[in-house]
Amino acid sequence: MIERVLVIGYLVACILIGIWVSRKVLVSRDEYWVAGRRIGPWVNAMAIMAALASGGSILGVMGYAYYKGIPATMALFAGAVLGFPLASVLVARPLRRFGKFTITDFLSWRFPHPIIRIGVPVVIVISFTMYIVAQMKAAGITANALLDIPYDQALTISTLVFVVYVSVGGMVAITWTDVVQGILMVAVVLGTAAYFMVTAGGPVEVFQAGLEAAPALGEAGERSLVTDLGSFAIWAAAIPVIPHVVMRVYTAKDAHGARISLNLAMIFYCLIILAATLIIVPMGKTLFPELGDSDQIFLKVMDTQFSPLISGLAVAAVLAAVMSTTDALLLACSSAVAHDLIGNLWGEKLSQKAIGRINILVVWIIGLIAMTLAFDPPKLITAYYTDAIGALSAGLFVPVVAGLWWRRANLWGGVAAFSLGVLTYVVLAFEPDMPKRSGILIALPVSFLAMWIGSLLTAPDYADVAESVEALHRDP
Amino acid sequence: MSNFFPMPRGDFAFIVVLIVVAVVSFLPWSREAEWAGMAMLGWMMAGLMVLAPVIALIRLARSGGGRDQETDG
Repeated sequence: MIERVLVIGYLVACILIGIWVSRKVLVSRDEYWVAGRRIGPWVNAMAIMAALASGGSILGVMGYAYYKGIPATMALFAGAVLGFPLASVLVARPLRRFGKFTITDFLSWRFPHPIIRIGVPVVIVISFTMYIVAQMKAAGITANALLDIPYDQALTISTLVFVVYVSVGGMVAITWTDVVQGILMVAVVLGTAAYFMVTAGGPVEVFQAGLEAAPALGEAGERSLVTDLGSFAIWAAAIPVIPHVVMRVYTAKDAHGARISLNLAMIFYCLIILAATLIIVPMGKTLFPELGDSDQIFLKVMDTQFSPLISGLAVAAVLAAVMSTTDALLLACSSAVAHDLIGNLWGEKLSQKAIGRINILVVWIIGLIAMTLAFDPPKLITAYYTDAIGALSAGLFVPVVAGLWWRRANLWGGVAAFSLGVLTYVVLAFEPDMPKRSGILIALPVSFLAMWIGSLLTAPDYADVAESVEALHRDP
Repeated sequence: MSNFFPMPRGDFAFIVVLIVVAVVSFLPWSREAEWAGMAMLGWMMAGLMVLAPVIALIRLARSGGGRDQETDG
């Protein structure tokens, strides 16, 4: 009973925040999509962390570590952590100076071609819809395991809550609920790890007990080398270009604030990952060595080792993780369609109010599609959404980085790098003989080569384009 | 004129170091060697996760944000 009261109270609070800020944000694109560009570094850092630390990071990191072992999990999540310093150095300063709303804004400006204007938002929407499906599974199994609500019902309720508050609240609502969600996630995961360390006599004791129960937990199998490297590369290349993180660069007060928030976020994020993989998973493996659905390990531990009040907090934390990522993903999808596709193609003919309505409609459509797909959930959350994010890394990393840093990068190089990167990744993803997630190790070099050859074989861009890019690097 | 826009030397060196550490971490030795029951790959990745953002923040604090002031396009 107490778990349900906690969770219902938390979800209602999130919706009220969304409704409360809706009157203000729906009148301005700056307010809706980038929170008026006035978010400070600490708040922005917690919001970035909460956006990235998804249901995947709470349930998925532990499920992945339980199933694949700790080294493979560290490799996957270290890629994301490495991506943040890369984003901080490679994209934060020039993109913040560029000062628009989305990654598509930059790419369409740098490489103005219909393939980029239409292809980039389409890839974003497809990848993020899969990402949302994984989050929906996390919400469904959490409510099912700890609140005894049937999976399908839990999925439907969560989807409705997410969609309502994202569609009315925009980035301001997301930022403030993300801060609460981020604090809740850090507190529950670190609190659980601290509890196990105290009761077992220290971190080494918990870790060693887990490895004794299951030595495979510490092994890095030879067969998975390219899969681990591929997972690492997908996330390292994704973070500098992933839309819901890039939008956070634009919400910062200035470029310095954006860079500080990116790195602060990673410190919070890595604390969660380390506590989960080095303490909670070994404890879970000791308690439940033969679990059928690995993604449920955290829920099993919370359900059996803690009081209903703490379990209720855990449910709220997992839903917070799911919600904070799903809302950011839904917002990024809606911006990809309403702003990047419809707004840029017909923006001058549409009123701000009409774009606002399209935006809400898009959030509902994508939310409902993801919910429908999540009725048949993926086996391993983290693996599923990492596969989806690979398409974004393969298509966007080279055009964004070369577009910002290489003077010679031109329209045809950008178009070729995007198209061939995505195409190569997608084709290899469906190749049964390829190790999982290894396609990125071919797709990224293909994208690099396409950028290089495409740019050198065709005429340079006009001088004013090079001058505008140069202005993004110039000291004020 | 270089084909690339200038990047502060410290930023460039930082990225190179991160990439080198990542490459070394994925060499075969790190999958075979173990410490405290876990393959070195796991420990190297954990170290990278902690050190990369901490070093980046230290560097930002030292730079004081002089180059990062607001210039919305």
